Amino acid sequence: MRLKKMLNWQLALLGMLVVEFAIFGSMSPYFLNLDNLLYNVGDFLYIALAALPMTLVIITGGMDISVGATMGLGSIVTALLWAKGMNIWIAAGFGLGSGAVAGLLNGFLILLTGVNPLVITLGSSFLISGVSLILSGLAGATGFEGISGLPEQFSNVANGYTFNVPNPVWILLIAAVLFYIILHRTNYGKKLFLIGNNPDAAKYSGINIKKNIIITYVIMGIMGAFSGIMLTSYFTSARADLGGTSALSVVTCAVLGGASIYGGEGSILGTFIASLFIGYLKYGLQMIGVTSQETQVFLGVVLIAAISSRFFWAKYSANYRNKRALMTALNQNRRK
Amino acid sequence: MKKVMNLFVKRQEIFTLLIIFVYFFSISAVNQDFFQIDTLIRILFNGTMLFVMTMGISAVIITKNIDVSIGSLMGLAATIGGTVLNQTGNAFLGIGAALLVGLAGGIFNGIGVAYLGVTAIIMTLGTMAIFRGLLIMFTGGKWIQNVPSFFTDFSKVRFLGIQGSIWIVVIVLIVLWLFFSKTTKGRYFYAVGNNNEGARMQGINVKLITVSAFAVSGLMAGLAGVLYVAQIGAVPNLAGNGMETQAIAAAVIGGVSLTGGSGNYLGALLGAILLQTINYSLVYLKVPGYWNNAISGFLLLAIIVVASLIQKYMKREREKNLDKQIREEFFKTQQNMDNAYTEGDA
Amino acid sequence: MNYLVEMKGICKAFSGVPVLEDVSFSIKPESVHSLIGGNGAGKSTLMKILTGVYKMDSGSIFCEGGEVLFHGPADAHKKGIYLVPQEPMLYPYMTVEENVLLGMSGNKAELRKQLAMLMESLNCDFSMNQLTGELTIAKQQLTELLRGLIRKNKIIILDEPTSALTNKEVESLFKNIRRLKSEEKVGFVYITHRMNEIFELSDELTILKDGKIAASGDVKDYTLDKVLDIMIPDAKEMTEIKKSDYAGEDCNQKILEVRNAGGKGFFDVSFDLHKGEVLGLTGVVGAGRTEFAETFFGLSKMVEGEILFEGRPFRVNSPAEAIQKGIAYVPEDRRKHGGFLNSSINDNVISSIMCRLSKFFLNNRKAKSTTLEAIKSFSVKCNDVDQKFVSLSGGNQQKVVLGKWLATQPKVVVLDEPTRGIDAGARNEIYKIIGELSHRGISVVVISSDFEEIVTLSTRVVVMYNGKTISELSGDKINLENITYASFGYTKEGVTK
Repeated sequence: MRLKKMLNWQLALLGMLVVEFAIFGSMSPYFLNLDNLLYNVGDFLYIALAALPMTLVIITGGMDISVGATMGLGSIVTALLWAKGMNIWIAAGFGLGSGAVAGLLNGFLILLTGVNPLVITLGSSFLISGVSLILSGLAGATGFEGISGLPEQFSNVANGYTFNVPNPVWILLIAAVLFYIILHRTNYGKKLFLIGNNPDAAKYSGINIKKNIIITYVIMGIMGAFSGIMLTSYFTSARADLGGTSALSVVTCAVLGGASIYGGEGSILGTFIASLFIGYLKYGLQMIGVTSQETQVFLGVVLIAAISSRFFWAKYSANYRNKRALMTALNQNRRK
Repeated sequence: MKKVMNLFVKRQEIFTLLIIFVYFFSISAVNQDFFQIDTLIRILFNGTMLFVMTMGISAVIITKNIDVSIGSLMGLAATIGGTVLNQTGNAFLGIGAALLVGLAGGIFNGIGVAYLGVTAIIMTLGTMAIFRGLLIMFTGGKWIQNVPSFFTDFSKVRFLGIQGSIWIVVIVLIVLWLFFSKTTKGRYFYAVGNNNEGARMQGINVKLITVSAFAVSGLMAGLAGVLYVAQIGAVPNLAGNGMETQAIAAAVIGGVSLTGGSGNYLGALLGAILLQTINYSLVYLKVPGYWNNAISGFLLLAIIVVASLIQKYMKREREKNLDKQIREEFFKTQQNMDNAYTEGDA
Repeated sequence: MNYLVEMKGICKAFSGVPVLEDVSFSIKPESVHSLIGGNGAGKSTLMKILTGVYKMDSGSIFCEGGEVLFHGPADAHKKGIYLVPQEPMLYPYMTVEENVLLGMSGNKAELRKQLAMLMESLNCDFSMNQLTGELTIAKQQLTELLRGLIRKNKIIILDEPTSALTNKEVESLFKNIRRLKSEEKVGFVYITHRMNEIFELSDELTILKDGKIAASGDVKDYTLDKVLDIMIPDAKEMTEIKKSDYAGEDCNQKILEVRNAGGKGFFDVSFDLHKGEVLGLTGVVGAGRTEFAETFFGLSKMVEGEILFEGRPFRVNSPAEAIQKGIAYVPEDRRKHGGFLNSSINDNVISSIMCRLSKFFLNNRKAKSTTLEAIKSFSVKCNDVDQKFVSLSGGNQQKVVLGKWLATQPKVVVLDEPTRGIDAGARNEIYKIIGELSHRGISVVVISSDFEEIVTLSTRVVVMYNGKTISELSGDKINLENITYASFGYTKEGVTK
């Protein structure tokens, strides 16, 4: 039964995507150009990549708004090490490692204090972005200037083409498939759903909640750093504030995709479609001349509207189901 | 040690005050010039926005919610208030506009949380972006500048040697303290934070209280906006960015527990004073600007970790105590039965 | 007949499951009306609708003749209707005084005096200045009662008010109820499991079964047997359950030896458990049985004593370890700890054995077959394995939970209140399952406060009191009288110290 509800929502999302394409397509001929659409994935790749692990985090009942800061961290660590002479690929490895450390910090603090993950990651967001700033200061790139001149091979990752399709498309698809398997086809993924559904019952069932939560936040951290590294490749320069305000978009994608803020519910497919929706929403708005600030307002409204409509939907469908059940029951009683 | 912990939990303000003194003296040890009354007054003057916002968000935290949009809301209120002031030259209109914006923003948050089924996290995450976006749209990216000097002067006018804006903070503290500690409606906020469902069953209008808490927070953000314009005289696009983190940290260190239902406004204010003292000392000691974020974040996390560890410890102590109580109770009834048995036994 | 309140045709469903079906209920002034029924029968729901906590899906409520619609508890309070909840819902960081008096209008000093008088008449030995978060459950329960009795109410609903009280406190409560009845003409609704209270206190009774009215009328028209018969018509079948008959060669092997175990909530537990045995572990609420079980299962640390499992020292640090060793613990509160409500039946069944089914990736085929087997062997009534757990009836939910634990292939199964809130039919099936388990050589520990159940099921009984095991009974010594005495601390030799 849960499957059916999820499927319904994903179909609805798909429908919204189609409508969105129709609207923007009618406003501008350039929009529906396949090459443009594929190319544009590079613009929102970083949001989509981060939304996938965010789905996992939200399913456990948690939240991570330090993702933007982690993007900057991954970017700066990679570029800094490269600037000091390290091979770019190994440097990227360290960049991912720094994301893992950030995730470890988040997971550890959340478990230790039992405080709302929003508040913890609010604090760690500042700490991490602060560390990035300090590091970039050390590299001689003061404040918000970037480190540029990264090797061509590296920037080709996000800017290149494979089989005539832009790399970001491949990266996103591979990541989506990978996370689909992790969440919906492994024991670990199933445990996340159970933990989010009823942490007490999970404890009594012998599930190691601490281990699984830490793993989840570490994955989040690594992917956050990876997103940042992708951004660095895309813009061929690294900056401490690369992630900026992306936390909002990332969370919106996951939640719009069907992840419930209370935990226990979520879908990678849904997140994927939602990321496309949000990504192309930004693209389309930009195309018709909406500024990036106005887009932010739009996104905020979309997020609030998405959650609110889920709430009302749940309420009314529950009412409907209840009325149906009562009618059946009363009829049965009368027959007796 | 246990007595000390007990005191900490019941009257966290004392600890905060203590830490303020300790910190103040430590910095003074490093830099002699720090140790003056003037420093203290500067700290208070520069921190009025933070103080007001911390007290505002305490109302939300007490009802067991959270609000991360207050930084952006303050910026929006300051922007609109400043614009009205510049265009009309009327101080009251400007102040009114800013307060209204803050109040409206807060109520919007409250309605989303109480009536639209959006949790506080998501709601205020969304409005954080909406308010900031509106701000930038409103100004077209430009800063608000050249605020009439009569307005900025007002904040600097001194009564008894202390600036007007500091007095405003004091008045706010008194009003809030009176309302939340002494009136029944005020105590309802604590009840809701203590036990949401229990408060509802007792007939308290939980939804209204929730909206009111956000309204207070929003109004304070609006007031902070007024103070911002008055004291700084200009409103940059990123005004208020990051202040929500500081306000939350300040409230937590002041004893306003994130689990809701406890804490008071004096504590919140002291927490904010402590944070402001630290902020000011960093500037004074010429710590480079890009260390600020790291320090802010680190402080918030450190405060939360320490506060929650202490709470956990207290909880464990309480359970041990209850265990003991239960044992004693049983032994008491045991004794009674003993006596009855031996007395009544033939 | 002037009724204070008349509820007519009340229907209510939650999550697509009907809880109240066309229920009518009336309350007269100056009376005590008992509301009886098993867990999940709908008593609390009905009363919560009356006090405005829930809204009914259909039906109407009349207050002194006129129809009313309550939008929230405040509306009900205005009509003088007040509910004292089953579980305390106090404000932990506020004082008793504030918890009770918050929102009451009038002179503070006067109110405080009234509160003091009321506290004395209820024998409250705690101060009104204490924070309620620091009180024991019993004292919290009393505080909730204070809330109900101090206001000027026309109708006071008491939901299981005595579950945590001592005899003396119960007496004081009854005194107050009678006083309010005659002096203020208050109409009481009294929800309870304790039959003796019903006949001692009430004027009328209503029996709810599965959300429907099973009987209603004056108390003098009913006897205890008649009431029990209506509630559990299959009670006679219970006595036909044969006791466990594990007759393997190793049936005398001690699978568990507990020696002076102590930990959180229990102080001195000792008993043996043999292979294939059904051991009844009983006592009154608070005796420490669940606390022991949880420590045994690895949820808290054992502080004193030792446990031998199959002859070897037993020490686990987590439930996962305990499950590995072959221990299964089916917790007391099905909704809180036992089942994943919003997950499917399949997910519930495999929740503890995922790693055994396959190393890393989900093995849906094996999972499904495990679930189907569990559904078949316990005759769980459901549509398919992906159906949501919460949509099952209480009895079927419990069967799924049992199925999950049996899938872990345990050597020892500890069942904590396995038939609480379950109708008679399912109850018998669970008894049969327990018999099956012991037949297979699995040792079962049944923790239950239902002494009849203990007598029916157990081959041996251990009674706990005050955190200690004080009595062991076997053979024909297993009877209601011995168990009841022991549960209050009396043993053959005299009062326990």
